[in-house]
Amino acid sequence: MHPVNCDTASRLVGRERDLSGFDLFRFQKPGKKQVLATHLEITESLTVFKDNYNNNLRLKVMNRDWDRVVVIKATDIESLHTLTLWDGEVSLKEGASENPDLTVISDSETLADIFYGDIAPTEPYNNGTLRIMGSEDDIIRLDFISLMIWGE
Amino acid sequence: MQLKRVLTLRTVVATSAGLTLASSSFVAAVQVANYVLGDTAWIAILIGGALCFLAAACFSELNGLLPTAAGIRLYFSRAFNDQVSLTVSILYMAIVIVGVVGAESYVLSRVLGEVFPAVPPYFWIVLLLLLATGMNIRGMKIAGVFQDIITYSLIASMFLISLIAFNKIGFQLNTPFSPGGASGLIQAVAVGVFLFVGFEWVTPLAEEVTQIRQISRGMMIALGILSVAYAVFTVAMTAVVPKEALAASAAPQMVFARQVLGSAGAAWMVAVSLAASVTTFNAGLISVSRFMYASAREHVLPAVFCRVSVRFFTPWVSIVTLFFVGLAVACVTLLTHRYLVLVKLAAAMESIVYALVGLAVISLRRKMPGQARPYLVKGGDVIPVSTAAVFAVLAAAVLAELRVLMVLLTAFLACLVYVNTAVPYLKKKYDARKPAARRRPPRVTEEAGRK
Repeated sequence: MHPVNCDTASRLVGRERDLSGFDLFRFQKPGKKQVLATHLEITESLTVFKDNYNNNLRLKVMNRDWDRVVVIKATDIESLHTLTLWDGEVSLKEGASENPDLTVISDSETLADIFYGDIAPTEPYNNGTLRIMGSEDDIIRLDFISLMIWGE
Repeated sequence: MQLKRVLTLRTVVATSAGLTLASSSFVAAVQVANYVLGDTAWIAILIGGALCFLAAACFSELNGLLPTAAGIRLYFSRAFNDQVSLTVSILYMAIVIVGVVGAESYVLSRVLGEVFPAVPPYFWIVLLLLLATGMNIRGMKIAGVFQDIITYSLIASMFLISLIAFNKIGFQLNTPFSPGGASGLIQAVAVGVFLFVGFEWVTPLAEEVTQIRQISRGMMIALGILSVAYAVFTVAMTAVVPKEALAASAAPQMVFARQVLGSAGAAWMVAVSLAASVTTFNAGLISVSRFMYASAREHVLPAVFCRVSVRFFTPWVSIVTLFFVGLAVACVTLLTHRYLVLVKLAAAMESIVYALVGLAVISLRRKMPGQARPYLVKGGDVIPVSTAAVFAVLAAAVLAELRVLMVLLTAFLACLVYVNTAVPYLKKKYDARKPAARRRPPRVTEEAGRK
């Protein structure tokens, strides 16, 4: 069970159906206009994440046996990416992959914020904004990686 | 897109049942038998199992609505508020670790003490905790096929030894439908809930199955199998050994097995108890250490708890802390011999959580009426209301024992104070440390671009 900060001040402003038919929730701070990140912004955030990962020798050593395919999907815009971890290195490509190990699904803004390291994944995960499909161990490993790249 | 690795229904059932099967379950089963007359323990156990079906139905609806490994932390946060969710989650985790480690280590040390009387019980407790801690730090998890083998072997063993016992004594049920007074039956059912503690901990697997309904189906099947297995085993124990003799022992399953099959039975039961305890310990430590890690990540616990082992990718500070907490709890239990208080404490806490789960279903139906629910409990609010009411009564029945009530109340107040004082302080401290500027470049709007 891994919990999160549920921001009770935020307001539920919408929901989208994810790949398997589940609802994802979008929350908005009071008084803030709802914005969407673009596909390009998500690509840039993933590139920053990938570069930071690949520049971290320790992470590369730690993950050399953790070969995984991670698909990242935005729910509010057309945006699909695939991060591939192979032999400790991460590569990024646009578009989906068949049979991923993990699928990260959220709204575009949350995805961009997470991969830029402006918010920890735990927060949106526990308030229902972020959904990660895959094994619990892999989900935790992904959070560990984010923690090691961006710190608390 | 299809996930590469998906779990089968067989493994979901094994995981749900495996988390529930523990050495201390046999002690609870004897407690159940003591509250009712004659051979009627099976009635209380089957009622307990049937009531857990109600809770399982509510868990299934919540799990379908909010499929997450965060479990009650998210359900209660959405249904009530963050403060309630946090208080209950911390209290639940604390009681689980205290209850499971305390009662389980005590019972297992007694089991092993019967086989190796020269070895002091402290030795077994330290060894068991070290084993579970080592496994956790190395990230070893009893899962998949291994979990299937252990769980189904345990259940088969329970049935087999019971049948051997029935056959040996030419068993016939005496007054099978007269459990005695209502108060005794309620107490028996309330303690009987402990037998099923943890069946719902399978919900974090929601992200690993192809169909969310597999989790609900798995929980229900596990409850069904466990209800029958516990009922048969308890009736067999009380048929072969007098209840007083079983109640006087901290390892009643050993007394029973020895009576049925002599030293071979004892050896068999040691293997059963070891397998049950190791899986329970391992699963309990994994869940609680991950909870501590995630809580530290959301600044609810000190940041030190999200330190991760560079070698094994596990939250080692949380795991080591749990080792020392477990050791302290186990030593206190061994010195005081109050392991039954822990069993009752866990039963009461579990009942409270199930009652809240019923209320959460009702609340979320009001708050999120149009939300897709892959699993919807039929019959309107009847089942959620019944779940809340029944488990509130069962919790009250267990808490009628003053010692249990005092311990739970003290723990609750401690959690409440922590959530209202320490948590805001930790969040404030984190906010002060947070970098002022965002890493994400500011958005260039079309309007700004034109300027």
